Amino acid sequence: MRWKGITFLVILAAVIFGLGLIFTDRWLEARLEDIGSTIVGAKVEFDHLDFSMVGLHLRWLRLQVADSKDTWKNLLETGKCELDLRFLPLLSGKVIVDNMQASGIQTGTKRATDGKIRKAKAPETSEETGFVGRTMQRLQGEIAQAPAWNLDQYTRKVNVDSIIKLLHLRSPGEIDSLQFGLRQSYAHWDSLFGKASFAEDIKDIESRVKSIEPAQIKTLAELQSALTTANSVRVKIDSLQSFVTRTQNDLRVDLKAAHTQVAQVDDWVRADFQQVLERAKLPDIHAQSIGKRVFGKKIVDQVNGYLGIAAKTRYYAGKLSSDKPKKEKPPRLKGQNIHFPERAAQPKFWIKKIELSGQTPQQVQLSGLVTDIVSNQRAIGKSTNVSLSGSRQDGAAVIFTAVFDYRQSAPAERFLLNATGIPLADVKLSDSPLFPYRLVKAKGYVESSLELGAESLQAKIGFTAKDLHFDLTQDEASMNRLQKAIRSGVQGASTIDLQAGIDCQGEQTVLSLNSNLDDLLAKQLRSLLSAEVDAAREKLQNYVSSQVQAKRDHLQKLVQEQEAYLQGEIDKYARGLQEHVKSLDEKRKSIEKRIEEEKKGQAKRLEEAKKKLKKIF
Amino acid sequence: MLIIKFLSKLIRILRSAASPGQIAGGFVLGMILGLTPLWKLHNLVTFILLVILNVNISTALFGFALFSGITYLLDPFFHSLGFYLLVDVKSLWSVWAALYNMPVIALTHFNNTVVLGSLVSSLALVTPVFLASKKGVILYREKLDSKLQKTRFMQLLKSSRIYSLYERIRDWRD
Repeated sequence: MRWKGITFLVILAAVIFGLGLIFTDRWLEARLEDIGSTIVGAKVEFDHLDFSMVGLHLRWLRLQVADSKDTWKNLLETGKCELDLRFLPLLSGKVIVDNMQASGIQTGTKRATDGKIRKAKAPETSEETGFVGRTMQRLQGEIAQAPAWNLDQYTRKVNVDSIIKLLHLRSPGEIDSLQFGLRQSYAHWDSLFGKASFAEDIKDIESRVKSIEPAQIKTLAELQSALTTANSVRVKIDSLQSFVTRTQNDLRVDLKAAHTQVAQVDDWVRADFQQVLERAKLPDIHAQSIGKRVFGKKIVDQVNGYLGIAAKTRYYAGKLSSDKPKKEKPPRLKGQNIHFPERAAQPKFWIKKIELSGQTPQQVQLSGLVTDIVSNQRAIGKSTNVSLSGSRQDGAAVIFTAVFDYRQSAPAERFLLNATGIPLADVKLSDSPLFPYRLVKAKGYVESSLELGAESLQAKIGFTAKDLHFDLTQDEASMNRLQKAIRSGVQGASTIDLQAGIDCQGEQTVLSLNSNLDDLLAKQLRSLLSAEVDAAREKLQNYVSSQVQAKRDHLQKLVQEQEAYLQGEIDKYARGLQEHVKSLDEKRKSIEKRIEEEKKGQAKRLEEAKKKLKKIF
Repeated sequence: MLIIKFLSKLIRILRSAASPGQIAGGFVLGMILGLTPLWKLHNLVTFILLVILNVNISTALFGFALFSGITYLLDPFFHSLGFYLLVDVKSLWSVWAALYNMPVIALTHFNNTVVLGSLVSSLALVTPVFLASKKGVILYREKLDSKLQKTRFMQLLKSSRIYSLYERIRDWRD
């Protein structure tokens, strides 16, 4: 045993204890600031932190928690706070606080220094990629999808002429191509009819039929010769008739195809007009789209603020109470802390009650309780609850409650905010250029609730602003016509009533926003623009018609003329043939009859001659 | 320069008046300090043992320096071993849960994967390292020292300016 060593250790322990008494406050302050900054992602600063070993009493005069999204503002600022730690749990590395007082709480206060931390951004929590994170992104996407109007188009008259210069219509070219194709087809028929020499054929048949005169034929031989001629003419006529029939069928098919092609012209013109409208981007104004455009961002930002808090608390609650953690890849020599929550044992961290007091930016004095901020709710069987309320002398009142329940496998959070008669001074209700006016004075009423489950979200936000006084001091001469129209609508508004609803189930998100301003602004914009929009449409319609109608008419005329001509020619030929068929058939019949008679006559005469010869011989 | 210093220190320790057990004991305690994260409660115990037990402190420092260098390379192994013991071995969960809620033990951060992995590894190495280093000291003293003194390396070492400077400083300290 080294006795000198023991002496050395005793002296060392005394020195360390003494230094501890002197430096504990600074060390503890640095550690708490470090831990807080890592969780929040921005600076956490304690002022005058004092830890007393006697009674384990911790207090500080001021705490600033910077907002990671706007590092020149505080997310939370407190005044004097104090708490007592229990001694025995500390020996097990557990921090248990029975009661904590926090006063002078404020939000959104300005900072004297930038709250950005130099360290790398806090690692992405699993909840940022989980349901809550995805929901936040989808809500941002809903607002981003709201019509991204280029408002410049409302600040000047709808200029159609400049659009017309840039247009390239397809239908005139298509009509020309179609016309060319049809002309070629008609030329083919023309050539076919030319080669067929219809007139010569008819003439030939006519002369041949005319040459057959049964009345002038005397002898049987002549009759038989005439019949042969008639039959050959008939064969020719038959052949010509079958050619005519085939030709008529082919022509009918071709003409039908031509009609079908010509019918496409309407579709081309329609498509061209549609293209023109899209190019012109004539606005489509309806109330829903305005509501999302004007108020959507503010609503979604508020909701996402709550969801961000829920995401972070879910992440840390899950980490500290996980039954089987995933293997992480920590930095070298840091390792991964594995927690062993045991239901019968005390949790690692537990603040049983915090008594809060503070005020809102609108000077509403708030007080309330936060109970059971704990590392593992299952160990204590209670959820974390926040209950705040406050009022002002003029009757304004606020009630805020929140529940964070991680006792079951499916996490659940609930937020409820009711505010009545909250003075709204120098408040901008929307960042949208469609609604640029600040409220100088008004009274606000809010009723909102948000329920977040494992894979679901329901939120309802009702906001009413009464006794409105807008800042309308902007000189009207400097305004464009859109601003004038909106101002005219806003001037007439005595209340703003907004109802928003968010319903998320899994990956489906529905965001609805209705306000009385939607109809008001839509009406103003429509009255401003509808006459112009209609005139613009008509002008564009006329332009398209002027480019296309002449060609269309010319095409129709060509088709009609050619159809009539070709049909007429072939029909004329068919009729010509038919006429001669009738005449020829009559002559044939007559010749055949005469041949019959001649044959009979000849036979009779032969019989008589035979009889005479018999008599002689 | 560092290597020469290192070797000189080693040889000096081996040739010192301390017993092989004292040297080996110091080396083992230095190994624990070097392999495990330094500022943890178990190292307070190690440090106390180092101070109150009659072990060679120079050897402990030597061992601490030697194993600190190796620890960085072995960190992934310690993390995996710690994770395996803390999470994958289900039969130990109740033990860990009980220790996690036990006063003082919970302050040792045994639930950290690197702390547990390195501590278990160093405790497993205590006996073999102690026996091996004790045997090594005896072997050196009995068989190697005289031979080593005659080597060209030792002659160079002794004749080098660095070594003479070192001896002067050593004599001054003594």
